Amino acid sequence: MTADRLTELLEDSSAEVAPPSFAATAWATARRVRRRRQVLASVAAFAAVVAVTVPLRDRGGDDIVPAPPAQSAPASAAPAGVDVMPAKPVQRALPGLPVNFAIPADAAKLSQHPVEQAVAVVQDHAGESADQSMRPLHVIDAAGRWTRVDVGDLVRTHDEGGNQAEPLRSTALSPDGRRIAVPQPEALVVIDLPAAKAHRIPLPGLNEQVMWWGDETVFVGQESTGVTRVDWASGVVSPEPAAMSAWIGGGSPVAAADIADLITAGEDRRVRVWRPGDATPVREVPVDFVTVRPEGYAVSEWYGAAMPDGAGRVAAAAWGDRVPPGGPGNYGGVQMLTVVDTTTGRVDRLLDLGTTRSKSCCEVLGWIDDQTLLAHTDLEGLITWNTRTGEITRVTTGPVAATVSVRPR
Amino acid sequence: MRWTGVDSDFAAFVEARQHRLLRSAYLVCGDHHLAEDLLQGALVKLALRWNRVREGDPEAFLRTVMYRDAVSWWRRFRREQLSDAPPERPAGGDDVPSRLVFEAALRRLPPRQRAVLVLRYFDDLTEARTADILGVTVGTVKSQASAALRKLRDLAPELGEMVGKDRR
Repeated sequence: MTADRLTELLEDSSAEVAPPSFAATAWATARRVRRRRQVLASVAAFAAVVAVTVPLRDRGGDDIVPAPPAQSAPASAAPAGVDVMPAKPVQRALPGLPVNFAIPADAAKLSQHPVEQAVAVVQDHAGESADQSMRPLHVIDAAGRWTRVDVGDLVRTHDEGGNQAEPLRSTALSPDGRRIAVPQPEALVVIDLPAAKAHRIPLPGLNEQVMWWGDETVFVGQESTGVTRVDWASGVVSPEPAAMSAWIGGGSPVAAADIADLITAGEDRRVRVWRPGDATPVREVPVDFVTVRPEGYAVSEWYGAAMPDGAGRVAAAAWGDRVPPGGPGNYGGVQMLTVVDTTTGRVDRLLDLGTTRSKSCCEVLGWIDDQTLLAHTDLEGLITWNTRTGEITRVTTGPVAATVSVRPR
Repeated sequence: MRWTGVDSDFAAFVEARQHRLLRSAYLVCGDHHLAEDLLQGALVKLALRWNRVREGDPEAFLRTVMYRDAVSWWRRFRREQLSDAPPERPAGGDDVPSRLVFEAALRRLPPRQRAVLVLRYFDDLTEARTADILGVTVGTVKSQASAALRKLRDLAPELGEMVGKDRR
């Protein structure tokens, strides 16, 4: 069979697709989006006036310290609120994390060496190697010791189409670093590291995502929206009224906290904040890329977990547009990290990761402190990004071809 | 102007290309409704930027948005890697049309491989244009196309050798 035969099969396979008529609908939808943006622009212009007067008065003015210029973003190249990944970020190890994630072959077994508290959980990817078997989970403790998880009888997850994924999620490690939640078909497995024991909690469905809410509750995602609540210690499973998504939510280290989803719906970008137990969102606000900074950027889609900073902001990876005024734009090919205020919908800060990366290249792992993010990027490995100063450091010496779940603080 | 309030150039552009693009979208995502959503979403983005894009290459813009959305959606909702389990065969024994066997195999490919095949062999684009649209290197296009053809042969050996010499 030739290339022509392949073309012929593609032609045949799509021959029954009826001609559409989308021009009028698309134009009308775009017109509605423009009108909404104009309204937002008016609101934002008013809010900007309020913003420069009210906070100064409320806070007395003296404690407002202007952020120093970002070290990695030349002022001439990046608009306000935008940092750009430097070609060679400064290398600086993060206490408790290794500078490379090469898993030692002789790592102790968890069943023989319980771990009181883990800093990170790691699962290597099989990649293109001949051995496609699932790699075991390993934990790193505060002393930097590696331990292989040999309990739990874990398997890969899969969706209804049979598409498989490694079971470790970046949201798997509990906030206290003592348990790992692993989604499994028809079950949730919680690995109790100090007890060196796995709890297998029956849970119908193709469970594929997890997020912690405090140290006792795990929300498990079976579909794109909606979760099941599991109290891992008691094994009690109950439906969760809040229609959160474990695909895009990052959970919360505090059980009383709300959980924010970053929503992509058509042309709308929104923050939807849920209070677990409540079927109605606490609030839903649009994310406006037109009238507020960062100028020239737009998110096409967020991906990965939105990690909360505990002070009303979430950070998540995204891909989208970069269209500087008067300059050539890039539509859809820009990878970025974003920090979004869940009260105002404002994108507080954005890290431009460039256009040369693969799709879903990067992931936010968590907050090290009030202003510094830890993220996993395809080219650098693990990085920190100070969202106030713009400083970016490289934590690892090279890329990390593994899924990593870290509790950095 | 055919529709009230619609830019005539935009309408003419969409009229001329929407059917072919919808077929491309269908081949990439394998679902009629999702294909329509993909194309409509891309057209709205084009309409929003029409004044800036119209003098450039609006078709490239449209393809870029559509294909990247397709790969992204698939990844978001279908995840990372395909099962090694063999695909379900269409019923009908030896009389199954090649098209059905091919479609079943095509749906088993990872999204980027499917997109590469459609861009190269249905949209008839060069490796360089395919790389531009998907935001990857030419080397990635080559390796993904090669892997896709190999996988198709594995999944549907009755279709025979899919290509003799790859296109340049």
